[in-house]
Amino acid sequence: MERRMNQVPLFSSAGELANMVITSNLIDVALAKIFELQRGQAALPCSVQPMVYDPTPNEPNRTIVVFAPSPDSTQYPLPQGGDLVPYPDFDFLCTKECPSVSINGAALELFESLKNHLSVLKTELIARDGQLIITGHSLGGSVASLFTLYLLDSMNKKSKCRPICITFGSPLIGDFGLQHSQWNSFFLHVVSNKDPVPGLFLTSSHSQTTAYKPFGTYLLCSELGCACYDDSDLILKLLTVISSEVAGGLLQVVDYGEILRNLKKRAICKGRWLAVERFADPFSAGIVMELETIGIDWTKHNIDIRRMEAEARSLAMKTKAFDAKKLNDIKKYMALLEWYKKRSKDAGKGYYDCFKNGEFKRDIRIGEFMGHLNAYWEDMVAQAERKPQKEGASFRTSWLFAGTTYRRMVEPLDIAVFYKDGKRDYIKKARSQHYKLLEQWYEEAAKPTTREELDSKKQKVSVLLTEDSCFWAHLEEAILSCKSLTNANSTPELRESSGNDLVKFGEYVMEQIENYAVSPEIFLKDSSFMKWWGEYKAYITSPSNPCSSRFIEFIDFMKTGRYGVYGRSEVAA
Amino acid sequence: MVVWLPGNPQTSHCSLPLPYPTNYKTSSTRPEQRERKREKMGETVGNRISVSEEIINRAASQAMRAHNSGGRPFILDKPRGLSVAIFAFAGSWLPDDWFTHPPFGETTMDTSTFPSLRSVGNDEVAVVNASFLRRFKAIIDQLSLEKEVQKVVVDKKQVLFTGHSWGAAMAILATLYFLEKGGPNQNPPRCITFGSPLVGDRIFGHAVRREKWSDRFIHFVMRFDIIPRIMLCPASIEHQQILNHFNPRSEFYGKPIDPHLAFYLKVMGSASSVATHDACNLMGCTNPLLENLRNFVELSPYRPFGTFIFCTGNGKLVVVKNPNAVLQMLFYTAQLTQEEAAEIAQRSLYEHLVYDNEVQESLGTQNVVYLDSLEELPLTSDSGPAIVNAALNDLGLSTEARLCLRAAGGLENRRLRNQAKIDDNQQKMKEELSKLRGYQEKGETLGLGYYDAFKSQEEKADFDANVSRLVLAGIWDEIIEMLRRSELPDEFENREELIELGTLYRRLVEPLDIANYYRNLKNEDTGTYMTRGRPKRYRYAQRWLEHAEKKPSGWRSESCFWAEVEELCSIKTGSNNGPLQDTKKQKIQQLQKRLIEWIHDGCLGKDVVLEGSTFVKWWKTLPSEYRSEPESSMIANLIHG
Repeated sequence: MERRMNQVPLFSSAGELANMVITSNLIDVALAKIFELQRGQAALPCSVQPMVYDPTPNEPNRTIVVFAPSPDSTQYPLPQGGDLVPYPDFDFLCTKECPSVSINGAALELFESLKNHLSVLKTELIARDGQLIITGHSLGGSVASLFTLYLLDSMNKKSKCRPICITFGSPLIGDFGLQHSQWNSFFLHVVSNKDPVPGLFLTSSHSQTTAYKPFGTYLLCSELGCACYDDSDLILKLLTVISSEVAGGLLQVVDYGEILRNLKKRAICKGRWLAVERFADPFSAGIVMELETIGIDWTKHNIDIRRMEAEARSLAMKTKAFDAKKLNDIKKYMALLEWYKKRSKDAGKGYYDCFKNGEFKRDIRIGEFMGHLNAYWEDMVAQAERKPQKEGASFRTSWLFAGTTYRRMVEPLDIAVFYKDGKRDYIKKARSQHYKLLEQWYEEAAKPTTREELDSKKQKVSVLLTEDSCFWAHLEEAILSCKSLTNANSTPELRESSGNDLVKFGEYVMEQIENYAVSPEIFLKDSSFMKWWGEYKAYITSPSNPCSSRFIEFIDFMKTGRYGVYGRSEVAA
Repeated sequence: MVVWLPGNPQTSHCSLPLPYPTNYKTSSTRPEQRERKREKMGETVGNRISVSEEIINRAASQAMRAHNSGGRPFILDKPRGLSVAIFAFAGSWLPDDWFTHPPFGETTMDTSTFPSLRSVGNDEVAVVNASFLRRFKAIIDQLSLEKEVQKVVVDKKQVLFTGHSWGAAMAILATLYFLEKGGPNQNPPRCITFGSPLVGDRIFGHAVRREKWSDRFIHFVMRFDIIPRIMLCPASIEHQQILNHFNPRSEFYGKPIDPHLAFYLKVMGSASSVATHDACNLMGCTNPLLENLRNFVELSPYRPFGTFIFCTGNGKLVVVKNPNAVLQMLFYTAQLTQEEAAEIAQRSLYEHLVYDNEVQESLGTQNVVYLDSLEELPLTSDSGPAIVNAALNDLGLSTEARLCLRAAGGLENRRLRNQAKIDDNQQKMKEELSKLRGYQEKGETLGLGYYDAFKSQEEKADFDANVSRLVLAGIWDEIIEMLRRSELPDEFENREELIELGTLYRRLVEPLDIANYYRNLKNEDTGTYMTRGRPKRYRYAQRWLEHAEKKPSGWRSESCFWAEVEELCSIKTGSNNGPLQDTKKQKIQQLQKRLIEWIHDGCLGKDVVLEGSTFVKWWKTLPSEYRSEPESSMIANLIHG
């Protein structure tokens, strides 16, 4: 047994999945309706309009929508029709890697011409429950894909409608990738190795050829059998190979009905053999057989089996990694920080200052906890960003609460590290993107505070974390401003701007206090905030500008020592 | 080097009447196996499954005979000189006895008769063929079976249930019925079937393996026999045709089915869907399409369980225990070749009727292969050990099929590795638990129970306890997650050690989770702990104990004591909303009763009744009508004693 240690054997299930699809009759249903529609073309008022087949007594749960343009030139997109057009209506597909969305011109034109009709249809279909099969052949399939995306954007979690889009021999439709997205699961594209259409835009001399990206699952098939793939780089490669092999440039008609009949027979016939045990590991053996089955000579086309294995392995790790343990580890680090905070409070300083000054021996470990927490949350935020906007939003609401607590607890420590090194302007120069996004998402989701909630916050403020995780950055800036103000060498301009900044800071703090948004820990005897106040209060005898009432309120709050009772529930009550 | 070891270590601690071989080597060097041929092949299949060849043969002929016994539900055979009594069940070809409703005629298991046939933590009930269950219950209602079995048990004979075809399904249910009823000292019944249809679903098989009953079931299956595959296919015209072909009372009896291939393609098409679907899961398919397909494709719920012995048709036997591998083999061994399609379709019917001869012949030659180390199967037709490869070739297993079998073996080994990993973690768990035990004891000596101390989170010890709580939560949540994903051996939830540890953990640590829940006032915005907040790790651990003690769900809720107290505290007493007060009164009285039981059993700590505890403070405020004697004075004694 020479298996590499710690590596679980990997398998390729591309052939199994394809056979399951083939024997499940799902494709037959879609294809039968396409043929039915094509035969009855003449009866249709508008040739490209989709046909809706409502549930029948035999299939009470199934609605089928077929896009099958009439068998004239529109069915076969011409090679020159490969231009990509930006289409802002589909911006909901944007992700971090794909900030704008472009769609194939021909498909888009057809889609736009039907849009009024489709928008009514969409609303009607979403309200239904049960299976919804959206299908089409060639360019009809492209429109089916666009319609399905359009539909998915309007669906919410409560929708009982379960869609799947099945296309036959359709060309690629756009430049957005949906890899690793839930939406990927709604698309199944059937492509014969004799069909030149799907790879059309990949071999012609287009400047934009590389921009096209496949999404969803491709069921590739030959006379020998079929296999399913969802790795978009690999699909791109295989489609290119297929269209380069279908020589002659003449577009031939591919009969998907005949192909399907053959595949169904194949699925229950004696399986494939590996001629020689060239690859000892099951993954390579499987992949090689699958590629041979769909008619691809993998050696000739330079397909990197090892890369595929590495890809599959990393994907398998991702889906298998047990999040439960990880989440509890993260909670554990938060609990440890909580204890640190409590201890610091007892020391009369607050955890921000303790950490900044390196008060305890254990501060070193705090850095380690921060590291784990930051790595975890940076990853979570990045994952949410990689998803299409809508999907990303629902993904993150599930943990936004925990993320916010983390941000309020840990970001002050990042700020402490930054200012300890004598740097300036954290918010503009150093604030990590993931904090910004966590804050932005929280604010998008947050509702305005009601009167009652404010009362309850008043009671609990002593155990809450300061809401604005950048509070300490503002304070550090205020300390620096205060220095400029008191420094004899400062220019009058600098002094004036520093003075103004300090007034703004005072107003900001007062607003936080009124909303019970800062922790009373900032008023601890030895905290930086109180030190700052100690220095600043001597300089506010005569403000040059007319002051806002809030600033005056702040000065009063501090001078009269009202802060001493802030957050004490017995006084508040 | 490849060593062929029996691959199922998790079943090896099963109690069997005969010594169970621990590995290939020791068994093959037994002195009684003089015959050269046998030495080469390993032990006899009878030794391996601990039933003698004589008894198997006898069972086969009785099963075939009983199938046509007409009227009587079973025949009883007590062969002279053998310490066994064979109950062979009659058959049926009536469509109603096979499928009550399309597509698959399934129903959830009757858990009052078959209490074990469910998953414990996940708490799902097994699914069984409704017709089989209905007809079996009718047999039981006649009482004669029970009486006869009782007599045999008194005679200290081994009870053996057997059946062919539909009768096999009855034999399986009968075996389970008596396994459920069996006392600890009773020799558990055995079951040998011939050409049995599939009876239950994935959970059904899981439960049988969890209870360590799997080795009690031996199923003989001819390579092409259509009946063991028929349940993978939804009820259809083709079904009807197949049953009619076998039914002596039908006008189509024994006649070729027309069109001659359609019925076979139909059954195999469905078998392919099920097998490929399961193979995708075995292989760790990451394509998200697979999940969405389940919304559109209805797959048969039935899955095999027990030991399968495939007859190749040329005198060889192939023994497989891994249920996932068996399913793959049910499909792959019966695949067609284009040329022989018609012949194979014919064989699929014919082979259903020749078990007695085939079994007798195969047992005579003892040409047996055990597919245990599935992960090491050769992928090509000429590599690996020649005996194994010859058998695989005889069954027509292509590279594709062998990859599926390897994946099935891979899952089994992965489950064992996961279990080993958890076992490695036990030390860590025990350490954290003993820290928390110390925390609890310290609280008791200081006079403030650990529940209340933890809730206030004032001391370092409280924070440390919280960290221990989270460390343990991490380990246990991972276990639960593995269970939910079926990533642990089926027997996992039936391991005494685990149930014990889980109970210890639950009783000690759940109060901290409850304290944490109410400290953060989660009841205000999400609801009560019991309905919204209780982590799965405690639910599962409680179910394990309840299952082991054969107690109903909810019986062992002592670790939720504090949640009940908190909820009762939050309902104001004395206000005049009548019905609420009545249920509250009941609940309070019940709680007092159970508190006393729990403290006496030692499953609740004395810290509960310390003077300053949330419970005692609240209890003292209770108006007298909420208390009842003698509980009230007993509690008072506990508080002051």
